[in-house]
Amino acid sequence: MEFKHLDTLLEHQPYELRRSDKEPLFLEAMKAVALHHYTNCKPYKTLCDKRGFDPEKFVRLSDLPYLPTSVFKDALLLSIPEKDLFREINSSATTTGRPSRIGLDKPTSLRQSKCFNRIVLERLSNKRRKFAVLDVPESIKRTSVVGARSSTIRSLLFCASEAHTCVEEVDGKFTIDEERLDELLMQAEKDGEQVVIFGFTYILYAYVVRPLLQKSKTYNLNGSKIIHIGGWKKLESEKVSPEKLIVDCSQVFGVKKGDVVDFYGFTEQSGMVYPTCEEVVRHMPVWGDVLARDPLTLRPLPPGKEGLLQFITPIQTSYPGHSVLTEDMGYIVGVDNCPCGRKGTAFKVVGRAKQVEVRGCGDIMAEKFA
Amino acid sequence: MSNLVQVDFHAGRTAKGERVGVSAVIGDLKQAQENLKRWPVDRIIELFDEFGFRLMDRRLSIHGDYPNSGIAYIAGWCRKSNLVSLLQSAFQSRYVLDRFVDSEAKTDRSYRAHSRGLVVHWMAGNVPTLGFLSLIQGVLTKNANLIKPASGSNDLLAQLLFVLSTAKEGEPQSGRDLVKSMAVVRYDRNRKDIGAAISKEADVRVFWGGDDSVATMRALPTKLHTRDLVFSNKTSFMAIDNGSLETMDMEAIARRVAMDISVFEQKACASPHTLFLETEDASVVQQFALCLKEALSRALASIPKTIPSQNEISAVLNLRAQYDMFHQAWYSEGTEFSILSDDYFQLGPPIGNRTIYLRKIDNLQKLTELITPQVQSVGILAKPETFERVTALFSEKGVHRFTNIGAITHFEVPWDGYILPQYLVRWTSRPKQS
Repeated sequence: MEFKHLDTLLEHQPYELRRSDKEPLFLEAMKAVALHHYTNCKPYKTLCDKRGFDPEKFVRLSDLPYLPTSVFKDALLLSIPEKDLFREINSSATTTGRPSRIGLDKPTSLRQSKCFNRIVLERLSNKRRKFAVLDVPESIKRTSVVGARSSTIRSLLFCASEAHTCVEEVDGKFTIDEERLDELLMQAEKDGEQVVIFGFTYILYAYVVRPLLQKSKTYNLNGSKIIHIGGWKKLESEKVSPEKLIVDCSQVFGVKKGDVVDFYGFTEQSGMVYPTCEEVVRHMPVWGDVLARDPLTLRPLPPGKEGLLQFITPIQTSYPGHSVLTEDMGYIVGVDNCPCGRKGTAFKVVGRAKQVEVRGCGDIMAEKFA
Repeated sequence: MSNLVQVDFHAGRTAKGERVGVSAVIGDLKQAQENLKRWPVDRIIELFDEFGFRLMDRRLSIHGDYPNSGIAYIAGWCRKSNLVSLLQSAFQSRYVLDRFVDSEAKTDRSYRAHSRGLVVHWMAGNVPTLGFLSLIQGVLTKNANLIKPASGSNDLLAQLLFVLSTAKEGEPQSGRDLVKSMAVVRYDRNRKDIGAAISKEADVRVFWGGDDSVATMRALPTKLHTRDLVFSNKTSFMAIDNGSLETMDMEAIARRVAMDISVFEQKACASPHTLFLETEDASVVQQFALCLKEALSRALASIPKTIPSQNEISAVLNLRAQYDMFHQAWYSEGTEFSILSDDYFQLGPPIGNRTIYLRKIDNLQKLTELITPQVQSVGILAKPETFERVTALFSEKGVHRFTNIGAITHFEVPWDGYILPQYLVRWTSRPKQS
């Protein structure tokens, strides 16, 4: 299978194209990929036919049918012969208790890794750094069975010069190894080394940042990055806003606010990851786009209006995950005009509506803490 | 620990946010009930009648503040003709609530129905309307009534009681006097001590809600002779026989089905989630689905859509995709309604938000296998012979009520197998005086 326009898209830097330059190329890439799924995934073809969608004729992204993320929990949808299945990824089964099942072939898997790595490197800079991982040692070990949490952590370690975990498990309960963490950070401060502190959002704040603040303990790790990922539910219930988390992290670790980075992504479109930029918004790379849809009418919304986020990308070719409607609410901030300089659609994720439990890996992990 | 409860309504007035001791609330209710039990039942009916009349005024802000809450339905239900009919069917003569009335069946005896005292209503969040209707019956039978709304629910009940308080203003035995016998209170569900304090004072406990929460509340301590009425989780469906499908106007039937699906956004236990069509012909299902799609679109004008919750949107979009891929689906452009069709032999599962499963079956009688005591209502359209046969079979298996299609959510007595007013009184008999 050849995807000429997709390959061309991937030759670009993630955020270098203005919409006017990107759109024709992106549409052609989406058209080819949509046609590929239509031809090779029978259920997807049935859905398109019922919705009156012809992949060869569509002209607007908003016409592209979307699959809700929850659909992947009920069926393994493939656009490749089963013999080409290279890996099956299961999500963390957070909100519904049922994991998503995503089938990958080698080209999709490689493409996902490539896209993921390029976005991460763009945000963290092309320098290998020491990682302080706020998780248990097992989370970074190579094992045959990989959980979603472990998979997320390990995917980031490609840019680590070395990785150290700072959580220990005692009688099934997790605790921060404060001594080890302090030792690592003190050493980095002494050596003037720029490190990466990585953890799930709630663990980072509740078990590291807040206790350090209470003890008035601070570090000077200027140039280091604080990366966090995962659910906000537990922090929201404790009235900790994203802004407060940034301010407190910056104060405790002595880093610039722009160096506190919140990663967002979801299993149904692995490889697509959306770190917050220095302006605390997220950006679509040239190989993706996003729409916000009104929850009642499902029509696309203009910038600034909150709706359900639909993510579109041609990088998934082994399964029809090229147009996915998430349960997350958010809005388009603007196009090509972020002060950080990145081009493309900028957006914000504001979480899920109140009725839904926001439970990411981080929230689940939080329950394991003593 | 103090036994303070947050009161939405107490002592004849709305009191959002005020905190009052639970003993004081119950004391006030009992005192008001001492007064109420001497009122003629017709005076109480008059007050509800005026309340219903006032509530029909669309200019009242309550309509805008609480859209799609069944206020218009409550208004109609409170009118005199309905209440008289309700009490007459429950007691034969409503005046047993005022005095001894000679029995027609037993010519040498007279009977009197006394209030039982304090009725406590623990209400579910799904449809407060139904809980309000049980409250009215508690008042008509001259009981004091204490309501614990579902946590997180709005203050609609208090606002309704405020409107009731304005009935026959300035007259003796006015709405303001009547509402003193009612209170709406809230407390943290973990405060078992407050629940226990209320429960111990109850003469009748009415529970609306899911099986687990009802079981928890029922475990609260109570007096030996307290009576429990449980309205727990139920499901409902509709069925149309082949004779009706062949001879009747499909569009007209679809319009009535659409009303049943649209009312309360399918949150009531009487809301149907499945419609069985007695046919072996898939094209009949298809034809009916198209009529129903049109009817559901039109129903949006008369029953405007409540914005669905995120869970509902997620469930609906998932099902649409699933059914588009593996079965059949017809739906609105937005998330307003969905019709799903498959070959499964089952009820639901209930999704809500105007989502209906359309299933064909070769013989309605086979549905008997699906009936459990959890099936509350069956909307049925069938030729007389089929109607007789299946209603007899289904009722034996546990169905509580059958209705015409288009009237499935209309509250009536009996409900869930109870003739409610009969459970809210204590009977006294005496020899008939010549």
